[in-house]
Amino acid sequence: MKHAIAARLPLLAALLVFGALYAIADTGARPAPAPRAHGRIVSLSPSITRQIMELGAADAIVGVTTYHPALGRPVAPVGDLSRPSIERIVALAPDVVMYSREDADTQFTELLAATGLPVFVTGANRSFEELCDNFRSLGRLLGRGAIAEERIAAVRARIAAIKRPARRLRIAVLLSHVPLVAASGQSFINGIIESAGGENVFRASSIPYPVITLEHLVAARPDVLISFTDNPEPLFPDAHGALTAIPAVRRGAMVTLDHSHITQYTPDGYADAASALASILTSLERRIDET
Amino acid sequence: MKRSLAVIGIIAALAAVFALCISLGATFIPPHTALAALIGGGDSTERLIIATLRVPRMLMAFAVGAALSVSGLLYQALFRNPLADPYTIGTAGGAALGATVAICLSLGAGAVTAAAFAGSLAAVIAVNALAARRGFSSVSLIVAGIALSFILSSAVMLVFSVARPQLVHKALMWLMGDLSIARYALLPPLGALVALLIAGAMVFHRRLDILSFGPAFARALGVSPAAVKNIFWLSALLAALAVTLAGVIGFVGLIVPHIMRRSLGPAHRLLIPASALGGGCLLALCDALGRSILPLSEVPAGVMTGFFGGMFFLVLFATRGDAR
Repeated sequence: MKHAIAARLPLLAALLVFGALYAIADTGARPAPAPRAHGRIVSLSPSITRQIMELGAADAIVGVTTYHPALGRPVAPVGDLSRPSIERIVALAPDVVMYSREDADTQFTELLAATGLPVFVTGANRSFEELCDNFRSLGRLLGRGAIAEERIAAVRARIAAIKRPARRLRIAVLLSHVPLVAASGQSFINGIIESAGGENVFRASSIPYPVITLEHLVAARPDVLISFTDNPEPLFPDAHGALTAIPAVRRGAMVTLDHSHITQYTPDGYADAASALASILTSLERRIDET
Repeated sequence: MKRSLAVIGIIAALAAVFALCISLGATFIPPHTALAALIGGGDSTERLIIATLRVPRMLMAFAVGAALSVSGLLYQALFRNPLADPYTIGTAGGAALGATVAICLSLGAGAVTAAAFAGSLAAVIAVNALAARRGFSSVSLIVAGIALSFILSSAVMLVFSVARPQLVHKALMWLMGDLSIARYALLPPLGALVALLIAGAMVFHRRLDILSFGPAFARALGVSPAAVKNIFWLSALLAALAVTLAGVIGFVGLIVPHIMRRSLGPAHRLLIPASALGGGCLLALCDALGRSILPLSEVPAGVMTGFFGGMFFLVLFATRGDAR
């Protein structure tokens, strides 16, 4: 008996592996039906909600997640951005559920696929061009392709007309002070920095938002430090004494901005952020030159 | 007569749990409406919510809870330690590292499952090998498991420190216990595996009774080292299966065997099936409550079981007469 069971243990292990592999096969969920162009939309990503509004189709939105922009009328929330309730989505009987691949990491979209609801997924917004591609495809789905093209052309013209600083300032953008989190070349913010006429000192990192140390910051020697955080810890004031090796600290070229400047993820939002940053850089450039 | 009453009681309890679990969720659907939707009545939205979302999740929670509970029961008997649980030997740490790496590499749900299982199994094999060098004693297994858990936990933190924030969040949700992988297609193999492993545990019920008197006594009564090892592997595989599919769900494997032992006595012939049913019901209920208590969010099953489990131990601590 003992030997019989001992001999079967590898078989049990193999069965367990089979179970895991079965799960793998199962998650290749059936393809979702094609979304209908006009109808009831549940938007799980605030960025898509903003884009739908910019395309003038906000009336079709019947469900949103938290942190959605103001829609001017009550719209049913289906949960928070990271974990929307699939049951609430199903209860709204939408014609299409939309989300960005950027948010899908935490939205448990496999389960959504199992419900058979039509879904529309936009790609990540890592650059202005990707953002425009996503905006175009959304516009086409909503039957507003021409409006999308017009908006993109207008935004390109706005970006081209931005008044940039005379020289390319070296910029570090920090999203958090404790821990220090910077925006790298893989991030959406990097495009905004370049459109504003700056140069991201952390552009080489392969991680979009790497956790850095003060040593990295000192070594990068940024001319300007920009902090996008709602609740800035007192890094910069305290750093005056210890971190004067950083040109930005020595010259006082440090700015704290509300993070809503960078999270619009619409063509107009991108142009607004680039314009605002260029304006800040231009005024800081003057201050730097004076010191 | 007594046995008939017990069977009727168990069936009634299971029916009540089933009715509650299909009624609770983001929106409350009365049991009679939910049952009607389950057999094809009601509107299509209710049918979709009940049949596609709630029922497979409840069944998966039941199977995972049963696996955790029986695993905890076997470890408590094997180690003669009432605080032993399914994760004592590093099963959860290995699964957590495997799943975290897979999630932070943006791999699909299937790959996450496979990686968690591989990590879990690797941890069990490592503890088995380490403990074998010290005669496979309870102490050697526990020490090896705790040491390995610390190492694996540090490795998880290392992955978190370099991964994208969204992926770290997803991994954290997995670590808190996540039953959202539940699908009908997953249930037959999961149910069969859990049933097979629990049946395997039943084969050893007499030896488990004897083991609780200590290793020397057990050896004298003919419990061989091979039997001890087989019990260890059955328990490890049950825990690995549960943690692979549902993340780290604590306390089920600790409190249910306790409750059952206090209610039914020390005989494993009764304890094993009772723990399986109790663990299944507890996790299914905790998961259903977690899906319904917050208006716009879902409380992970592991948070619910941890909360209720901790409360249970505090009550036990406060009300028990002796201080041993």
